[in-house]
Amino acid sequence: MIKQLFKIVWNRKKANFLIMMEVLISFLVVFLVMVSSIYFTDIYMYPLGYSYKDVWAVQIDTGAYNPEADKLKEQEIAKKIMQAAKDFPEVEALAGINVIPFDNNEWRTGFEFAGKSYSPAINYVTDELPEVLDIKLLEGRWFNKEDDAISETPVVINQALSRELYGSESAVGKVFESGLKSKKVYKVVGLVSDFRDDGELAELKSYMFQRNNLSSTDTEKMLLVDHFIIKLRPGTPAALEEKLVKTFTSIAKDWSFNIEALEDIRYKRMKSTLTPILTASIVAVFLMIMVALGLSGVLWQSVTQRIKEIGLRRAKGATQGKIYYQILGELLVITSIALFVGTIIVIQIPLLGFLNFVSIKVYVITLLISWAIIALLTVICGLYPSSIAANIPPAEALHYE
Amino acid sequence: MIKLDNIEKVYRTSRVETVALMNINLEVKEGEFISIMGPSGCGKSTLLNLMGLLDAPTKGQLLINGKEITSYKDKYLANLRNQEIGFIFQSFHLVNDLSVLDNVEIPLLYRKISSSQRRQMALKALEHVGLTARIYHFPSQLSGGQQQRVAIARAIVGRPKILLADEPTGNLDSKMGEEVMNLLVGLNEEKTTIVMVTHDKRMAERTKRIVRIFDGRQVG
Ligand SMILES: Nc1ncnc2c1ncn2[C@@H]1O[C@H](COP(=O)(O)OP(=O)(O)O)[C@@H](O)[C@H]1O
Ligand SMILES: [Mg+2]
Repeated sequence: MIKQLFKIVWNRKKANFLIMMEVLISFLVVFLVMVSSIYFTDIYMYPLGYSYKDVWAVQIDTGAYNPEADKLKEQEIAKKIMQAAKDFPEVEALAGINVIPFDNNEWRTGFEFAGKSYSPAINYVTDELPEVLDIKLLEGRWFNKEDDAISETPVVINQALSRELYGSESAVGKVFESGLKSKKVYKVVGLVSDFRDDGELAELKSYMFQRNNLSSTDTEKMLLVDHFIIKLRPGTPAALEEKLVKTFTSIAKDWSFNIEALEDIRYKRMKSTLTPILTASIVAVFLMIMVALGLSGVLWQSVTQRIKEIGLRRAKGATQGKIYYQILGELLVITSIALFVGTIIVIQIPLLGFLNFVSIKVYVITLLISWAIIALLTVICGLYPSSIAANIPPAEALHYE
Repeated sequence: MIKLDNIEKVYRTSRVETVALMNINLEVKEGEFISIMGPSGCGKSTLLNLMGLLDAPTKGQLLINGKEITSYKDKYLANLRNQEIGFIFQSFHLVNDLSVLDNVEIPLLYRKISSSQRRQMALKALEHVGLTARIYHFPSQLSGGQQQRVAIARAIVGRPKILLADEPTGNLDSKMGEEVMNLLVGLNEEKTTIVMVTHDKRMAERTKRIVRIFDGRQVG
């Protein structure tokens, strides 16, 4: 029976080529739709590495840039403002931070290590950050007073950077040189799983925190703080914002302040990321519907063209079941060939340098799901016309025009 | 061999009701060669389709090879069609995508037969109709007469006791029709029971009995 199946598929190669092309195109469309949705689902599932609940970000605007300004004096005022914020009973913790989570900006640093260049994201933060954002260390420790004594610049890195630099070895205690002119030496004091400051839908990246020591007068170790974040007692009303701004302005009359909950910043960021994704999804759903319609149309036509043959086979003793399985069997052969060709094409994509951000895991899962979808689609689209054809009385089928 | 008892066939569509056959009583005995004659649209094909179990009667009783048709379930009918009946059609109904040999093998695909035995039986049937030289040809490469001979080979390959032929020479010129008719007469001489629908008086005269149908009724 299998041999008969291949024989008739081969003998009908012209008509079957059309079906095969339709299945192949459907597969490619499904694959591309799937690879992007699975990619985003996959990265969404990775832990964020911190908690943004009840955290507000405060931005300090010192007015127009003035190169003459006394940096140290400005820093003193900023510290006074931070102290004033801390004194509010609603504020549980406060930390200076250079890049606010979910905010659409990024700092990167570049350096060479063991002959390769790296450019991880970098964030200058104070010792209290873990309390504000509930950051858990996997290994080592966070920055603290001990770091005042060491000559290297302390850093905490994420697992991705640790793997890039040291493979499976432990990074804690290791040192590497910065790419800056000063040839500053970094010392890894701690390891976090991740810190996804671009949110749940952003690509995973290597990350490092550098200690910002606000009590130092050495500008190498101290970076001017123009943002800080505060952790509030759960249930703190939004009205606190106004009180905070009032207090801050009383300390620095010429400066202005902008306070926003991380949750709101995240929401805005999410919205701007999701809009193109949603647009693409709508196009994808539309494409899938087209694919299903096209496929069922082609299969429908291929079956109706063979109603006479079906009548003849039944006149010669084929049961409805045999007809059914013959058509489905042929379809299975054609679909397998199309999926084989499609898989070969799809494997070429990363080899040609496209879709490289997609991991092998996501790629393989996408392949399996796309196979399943196409197989299901062809069976469903083929089942209905097959059952109709098999149910026509043979006397009628033989005269079908 | 075949016995029709008070057979009636009505075609019902959503709007019209066509009485194709009324009160048909007919017995076909073993070894007979019957031709069914009558004007176009009188119900000849309908009658043959009922005998060949390609369609179910609206009323009446049918016996094939002494077996009463008690059920019109698909599996049961398919098996009877496969074992007991060989069908030949006016328009041949060869599968264009299959070679002559594969076409002849079709009825055997629905039996439990090894592929080598299948091939052997098909070759024998093709030898019978004189087409051994054409087994790898496709239907489109054959003349009408040759195509009908392939169809006859396919009808006899499973060695059925009954052959039903619906205007087997209707699409052929007289010389080719003659060849096909000779084959059928030969098969009948070898004890195959044949029922043939025809328009052609000369063909009918070569059969043993003529049944005439007029407007769905048996008239002689
Ligand atoms: N499937 C069908 N549905 C409705 N009417 C049919 C069908 N098949 C045949 N008929 C009608 O039944 C009558 C007999 O048809 P048929 O047996 O084909 O005649 P013949 O073979 O003698 O020319 C005709 O009136 C025809 O129109
Ligand atoms: Mg007719």
